[in-house]
Amino acid sequence: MRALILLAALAAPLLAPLSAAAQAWQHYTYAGDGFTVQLPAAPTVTKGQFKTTAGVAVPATTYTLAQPDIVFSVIVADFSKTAMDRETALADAVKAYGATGQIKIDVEERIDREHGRQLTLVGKDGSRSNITIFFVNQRLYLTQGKALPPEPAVGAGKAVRFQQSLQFPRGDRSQGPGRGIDFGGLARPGDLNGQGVFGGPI
Amino acid sequence: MKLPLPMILAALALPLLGGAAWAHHSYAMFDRGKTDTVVGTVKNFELINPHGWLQLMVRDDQGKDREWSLETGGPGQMAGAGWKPTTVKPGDKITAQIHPMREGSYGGQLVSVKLPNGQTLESH
Repeated sequence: MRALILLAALAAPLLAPLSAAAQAWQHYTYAGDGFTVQLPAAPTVTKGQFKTTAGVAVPATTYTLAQPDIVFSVIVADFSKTAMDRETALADAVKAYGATGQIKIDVEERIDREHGRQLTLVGKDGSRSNITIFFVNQRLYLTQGKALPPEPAVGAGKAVRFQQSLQFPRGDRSQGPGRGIDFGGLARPGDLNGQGVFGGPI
Repeated sequence: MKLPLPMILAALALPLLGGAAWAHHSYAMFDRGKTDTVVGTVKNFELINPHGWLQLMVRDDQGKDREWSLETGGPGQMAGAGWKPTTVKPGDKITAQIHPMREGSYGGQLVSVKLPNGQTLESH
């Protein structure tokens, strides 16, 4: 009996509802692109190209959620058919963001065993962004929570949370790039909005 | 086969301890050399993996309520520090100690919370 009570006590946190209220944010996992983020609603998924500042174009997928006060985006650029290395990719992304405004903070960040960068950027348009840049399995990951003008303070807290939510699920490591998109049951193929060309980070 | 109870308990506890053994990320954007106090009203509290989130509405210098995102420990760490999913509820007025964002934005790493009943709970 005592053992049963102990087991029940240990199992309770695993079974109980884990939120004090209905969860406004959810995890969105895209196994095909090898990442998970938290968002307040499902993003729109668009296929296109990503260009480095040197003009190298590679296939990319963009996940975007636009709200009145903030735009959340994840760009996954596939460099598997190039010789791009991590340091060059990270430096180029920082340079591209720097061209769109003033970088206030640029620090090295670790997610599990991967190392990348996190930035805060005050855009020329008056926006305020929290950005994460990683290069994993020959894919460049750019996440940006862009709190919009004229009052970026309204969305700034959400940008912080989005920035800190990026994960690289370990189960994807063996898949490698180019396996297509797994919509995780959350986004739909109908969300694909044609072909776009991204002139660097948006 | 009959497994001994300590082995069963250890196996059950492993998922709760995993987050503490290897944190999901390095907290580089938080200024861990600095601790600030913010007072506000709980909007939402989510005790989720790999880290929980406390969404707090904080009144700024201009009298406007701003949403702050405060990152907490994972569910295992938080349970070990005495937290439950219902420890704070929407509408609760609390005082939070945080390591703020380096650039001074509306967020931080939660250090501790003083609850409406006067009790203080650590986060990490």
